[in-house]
Amino acid sequence: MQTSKGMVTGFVAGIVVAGGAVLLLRDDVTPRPDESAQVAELGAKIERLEHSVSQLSLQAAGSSRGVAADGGTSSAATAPATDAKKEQTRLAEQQRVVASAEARVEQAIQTGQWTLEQARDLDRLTVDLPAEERGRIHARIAAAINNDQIKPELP
Amino acid sequence: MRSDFRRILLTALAAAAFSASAFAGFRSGQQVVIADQYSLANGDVGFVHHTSDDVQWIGCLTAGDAGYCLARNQEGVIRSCWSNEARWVNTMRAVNSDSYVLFYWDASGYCTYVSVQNDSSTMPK
Repeated sequence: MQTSKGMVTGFVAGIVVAGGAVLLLRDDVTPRPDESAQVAELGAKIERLEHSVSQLSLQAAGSSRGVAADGGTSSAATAPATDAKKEQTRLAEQQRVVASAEARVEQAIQTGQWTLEQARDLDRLTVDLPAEERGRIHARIAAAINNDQIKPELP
Repeated sequence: MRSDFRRILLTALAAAAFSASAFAGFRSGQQVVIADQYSLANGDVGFVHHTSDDVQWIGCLTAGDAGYCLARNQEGVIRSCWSNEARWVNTMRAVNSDSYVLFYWDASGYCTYVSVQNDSSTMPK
């Protein structure tokens, strides 16, 4: 009898201890009201941040598509076209100057005259030509003088 | 190579003759000489300027980064060369009224050599 009474007491005490432990553990797991509010607030903030990040990602994707679309059809395509046109214009102008200079050399050889004014004009005309082209034209004058085809006016 | 050697030899001879006349106490001026066989012309600017004939002329004209050297001898023969090589254009720019000028040309009319001597052995003032 005494033994069973002790067993019951022990059993009850065990249940009480176990219940207390469960209660204690529940108390640890369950956040306090102020912590719950903080957690909820942080969760909301994280949610807003995620939303903002996703919005920004969408905007970035949209703008890069726009840039790619614009760049592919206008800027990137028109820049080389403009450069090519400029180069074409420059070459055409260069050819015109060369032709004009050659005509002046031919005229000098035909007339046999080469005045200082003509020399200055040719120099001004050819000043922007590539060095090789410019040299070829002026050397033609010098060669024509040396071949007695032109009598230059001397200062 | 042979042409270069000949050019150097002729230049040296011309310079030697020029110097010798100066050392001998002669007026160092030289008339315009044109030697087509060597494609060269030379002469003393100051001396030529003071000659009684109005025909001889020697000098260089530069404009920007290029220039001509021209020479006309007593017979009225004119020879010239053109260059935009900095070494020759710089030499052309050094010509003054007391200079002794020497230049060579090639068949295309380019200067192959330009020499200017400015010193006390040239035409006295």
